Amino acid sequence: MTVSFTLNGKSTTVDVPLGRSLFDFLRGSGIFSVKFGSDKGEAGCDTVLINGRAFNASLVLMHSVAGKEVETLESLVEDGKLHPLQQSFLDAGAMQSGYTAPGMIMSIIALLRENPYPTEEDIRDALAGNLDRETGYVKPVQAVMDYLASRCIELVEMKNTNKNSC
Amino acid sequence: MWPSIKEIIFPESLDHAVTLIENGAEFFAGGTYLVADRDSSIHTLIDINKLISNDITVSYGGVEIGAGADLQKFIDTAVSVNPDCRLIKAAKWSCSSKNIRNQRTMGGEIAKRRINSEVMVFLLVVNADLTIFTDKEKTISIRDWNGKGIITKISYYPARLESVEIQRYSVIPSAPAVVIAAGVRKGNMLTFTVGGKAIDFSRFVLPIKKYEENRLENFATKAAGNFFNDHYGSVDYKRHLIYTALKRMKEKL
Amino acid sequence: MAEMKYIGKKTPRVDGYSLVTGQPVFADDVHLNDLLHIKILRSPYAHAKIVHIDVSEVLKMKGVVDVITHKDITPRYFTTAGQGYPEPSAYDTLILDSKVRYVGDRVAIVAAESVEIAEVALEKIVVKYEKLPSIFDIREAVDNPSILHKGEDKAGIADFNRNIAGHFDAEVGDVKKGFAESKQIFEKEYSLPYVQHCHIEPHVALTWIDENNRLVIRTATQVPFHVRRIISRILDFPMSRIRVIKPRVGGAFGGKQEILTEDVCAAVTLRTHRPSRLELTRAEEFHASRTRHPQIVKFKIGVNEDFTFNAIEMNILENSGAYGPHALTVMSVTASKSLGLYRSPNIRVNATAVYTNLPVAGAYRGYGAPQGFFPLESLVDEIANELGLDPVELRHINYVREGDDVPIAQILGEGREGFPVVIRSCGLHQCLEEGEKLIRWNDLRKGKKSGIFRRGVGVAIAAQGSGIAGIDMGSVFIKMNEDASFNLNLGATDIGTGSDTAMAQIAAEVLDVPVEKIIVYSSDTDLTPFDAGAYASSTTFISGGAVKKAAEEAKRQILERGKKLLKVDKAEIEDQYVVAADGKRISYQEVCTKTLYTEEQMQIMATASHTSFDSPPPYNATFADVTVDTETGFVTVNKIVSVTDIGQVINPQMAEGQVEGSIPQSLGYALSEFLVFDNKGSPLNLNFNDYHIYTAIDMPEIVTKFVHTHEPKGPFGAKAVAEIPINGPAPALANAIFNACGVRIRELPITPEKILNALPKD
Repeated sequence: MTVSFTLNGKSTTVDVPLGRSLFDFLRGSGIFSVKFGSDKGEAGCDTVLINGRAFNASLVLMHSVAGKEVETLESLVEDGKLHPLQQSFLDAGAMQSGYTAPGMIMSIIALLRENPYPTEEDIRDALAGNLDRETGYVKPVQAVMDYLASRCIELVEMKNTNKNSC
Repeated sequence: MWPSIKEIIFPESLDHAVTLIENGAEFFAGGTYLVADRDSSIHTLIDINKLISNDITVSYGGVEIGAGADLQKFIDTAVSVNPDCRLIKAAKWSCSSKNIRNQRTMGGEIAKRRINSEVMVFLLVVNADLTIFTDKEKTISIRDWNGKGIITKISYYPARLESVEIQRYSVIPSAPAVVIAAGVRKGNMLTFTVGGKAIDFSRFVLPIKKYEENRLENFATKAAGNFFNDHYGSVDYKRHLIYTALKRMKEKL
Repeated sequence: MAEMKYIGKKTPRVDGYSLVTGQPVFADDVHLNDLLHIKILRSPYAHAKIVHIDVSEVLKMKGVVDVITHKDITPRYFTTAGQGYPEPSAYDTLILDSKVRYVGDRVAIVAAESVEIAEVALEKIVVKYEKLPSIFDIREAVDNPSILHKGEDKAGIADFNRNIAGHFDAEVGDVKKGFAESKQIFEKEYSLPYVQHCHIEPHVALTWIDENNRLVIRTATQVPFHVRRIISRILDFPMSRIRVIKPRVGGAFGGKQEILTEDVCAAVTLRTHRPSRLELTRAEEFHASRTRHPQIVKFKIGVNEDFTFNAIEMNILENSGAYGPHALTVMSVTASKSLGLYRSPNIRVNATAVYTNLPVAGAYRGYGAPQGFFPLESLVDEIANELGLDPVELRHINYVREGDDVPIAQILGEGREGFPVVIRSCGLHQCLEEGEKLIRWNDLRKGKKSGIFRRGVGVAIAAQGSGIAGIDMGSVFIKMNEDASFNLNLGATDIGTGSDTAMAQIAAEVLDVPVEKIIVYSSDTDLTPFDAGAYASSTTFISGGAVKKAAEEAKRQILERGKKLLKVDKAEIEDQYVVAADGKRISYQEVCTKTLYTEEQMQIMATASHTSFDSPPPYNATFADVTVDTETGFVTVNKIVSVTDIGQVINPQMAEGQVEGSIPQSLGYALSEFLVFDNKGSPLNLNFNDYHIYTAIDMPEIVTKFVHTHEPKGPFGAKAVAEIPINGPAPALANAIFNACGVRIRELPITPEKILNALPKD
């Protein structure tokens, strides 16, 4: 089966067997940020974005991504520079082994696109499908809150600068 | 990888789609249940995503949900229509993973008929209508659907949701509920639906005027007949949970 | 002590960048050409003989490359437990056996060109079983006519004819007399269930033959050196030709202190000369890897007039499952950690581990201690309530103090008699005081207890160890580069704990260089010196000790070289310079560059090993605030406060992370996690929809605090952190439930039905 879609901004056409999951395809292509968590696909360490929303790649068959835009954690780093959310995860120490960090970060990226000002409840809801056994979710949630706070400060500063320039 | 899949068909029309169903062939919309189980007896997927709408429209008449709409979209829309309704908010517990709610379709959730799905309990208690395509489209009550055909549309009437309640009991919030009970009041009638880790839903209608304590008890006993002993508790305990749920809802309704 | 620059300071992880960017750093993040995929056929029966096994049809299948049954493997008994040698666990296991002892036991191995082919092939293996009677009830195991491990060729089983995997008893003082003298005696029995680690990364191993004809094992393990030793013996392959690489590990909690994939993978590679991969499925993780040991624990405590404890007696019946990895040592930790918490002149313990036809238990964070502290801390709470004392007060009266020795802990050791145990640092007093404030102990404990929803608080204290005294050893190699960076190669296994960063901080502190200057490489049996492995909370304390020693030696060399280069007798190190009294100075860079290239050339480098005859206990007080719905029995956890004494904290953020990660594991133990089996021993809940671990929306408010103590035996005063915080939440929760509604549940998990049934009916 031939499937054409966009992977991390690049249009891609691949020939895959029927019944192949997006997870298998991505790992087979060297996209290792998606991780195996469970046979039933419920662990969430395989979170990717499809047309901007978060999905578990293990539960998505390749034919379903035809014509769509798939993004993985690999797309976040630009010119060797971390996405500010990744930086927040680093600064907050939001990982122990880090095995589940990519999935959590992608779930939050999706949340921020639909809602730039989420509450803690929204953050936890977005992370509910990202099972983790190491952090108690304390520092990952903190990392997102820190990120939001720093962005608010940035916005205020931007506003102030604009005022000054007026 | 789901190695037993030998064919994926994209039918041109619903007419075409329904002729394709046979042993080993399944309609495929969101696919979360199917792909999680990867049943090796399934060899053909009939992908109906292009044939069913995923739009949700809200009008005076009610809420109309294309069966292809995902659970998350349904919950977001329904909550915006009835922002204070605990029952609708609880629908998200049918699947605590937002990622999976993004993918799972309303039609699939109904077709799966999972007894401990809050979405199902919601649709049953509000007595939603389903539009089903068999050889033509027809609209029936969700309670009357026999599982045949393709669900294309679900509709319910927010006006009916003036007084609704839900009780759910699960070991931790994210875990599928052991007992889910929902109730609505419409005029002088109370309607309850009970689901959970059980073999079937139960439904119960009670005229408020004739309310007597033992009627709730009788209903709880009847509903508990659908439950079984397991590590979450005995049938007797679940009967008690159902009764407590009904009593609590009755007080609020 | 001088102000420290890096110890106790917030320090970003040395591997942080690679982790947040999803770099291919885990065991399975590699593509190997010509890779074989392995699947294991597992027993559908709890106890059976394999009377016939036919793989001829399978071998004809396209894509199947190798099939292995018990007939193909020379039987060499071993223990899957990755412990120091000689292992205190019984040698009762074969790679493949002609008998299966639990549902999920290995029957055959298939290696194929793809996972899918291997899976189909499993179904085509013809096996005839002769079913044998099974034992599922732990109380029926001893002297059961059905014997799991017959055979004299197995070693280290306490009494295989009676299904006893391990046994010990020990006494200090005279317990009989102690109880006779006591004013009041309290005795209760508690039961602990099967639970699973649920590290999100499963067990996964890849093996191949490298360009030098050596066997390489890349595996998610806590114990690379034990893997090398055990694989060499059971596959009769020279150790010199085995290299074990431990990449980043995605969580382990003791589950990866076990040889569960490496033996199979290596066997396939040695037979086929092809790279092989075996990854366990989540279902296999649940029932065919390892679990926490279920136990039935009886505690009896005799109390004096002044509320001090006069005698403590403990009886342990442990379910080891079908095999005995860690059977003896886990229950010796159950006993030694809980019996080391309180002063009592008379102490006795009797412990028996039995075989049953259920999943195999193993090491799991806390290593038996949680199974001891739930009973102990529940009973101490019961005593306080019976005597009308504040539970915090009763603990203050009885817990050990600095300067105490703990003879029972010495007798019990770990698998064999240990070393004198003296408490040199104990912050329990501060832990309890801090915790009381943070949970609002007095307000909530004495608050109103009526109505349908009732709120209550509970407390539990606990101890753990820091490594295994006299057994664990860690070693490191450090060398200096001309830009004043240092390679720190160490055997210590960072399994997601962040220990690489902690080790770098210790080296940085000693050498007085920024942490970024320390390049850590951990755990490769070819490239790093030996380490016993990441278990028993040993890394900070044991391996950290080795890092400190090696760094000090490197620093001594820098100073010596610096003095020579400056031509002075006396100098000091200051901010990456060697500085003489007259102000002359030479930079680290110059010292190293000159030493490497021009002046009396040599490499500034050092090795060091560290072991300890002490295992200083870290301490913890955990408080729980709960609300019980007395109409349904459901419990809501509002808040958990965990206050811990780990001596000097090396990395506050990572230490907090260890505590925060422990709490949901222990809450799950108490409330939501339990493996269930049908009446044939088949497990029923093998995925995360049916086995409920805490998610982001289930978490109560968590408050984590450390109190300051200084452990004289630890590097910079540090003790261990990895396990201690998992002991408290379950008993604190049970005690909070009692405080809220007067119900005492002595059997985990605490299900709502148990609470409801115990509530007085009105």
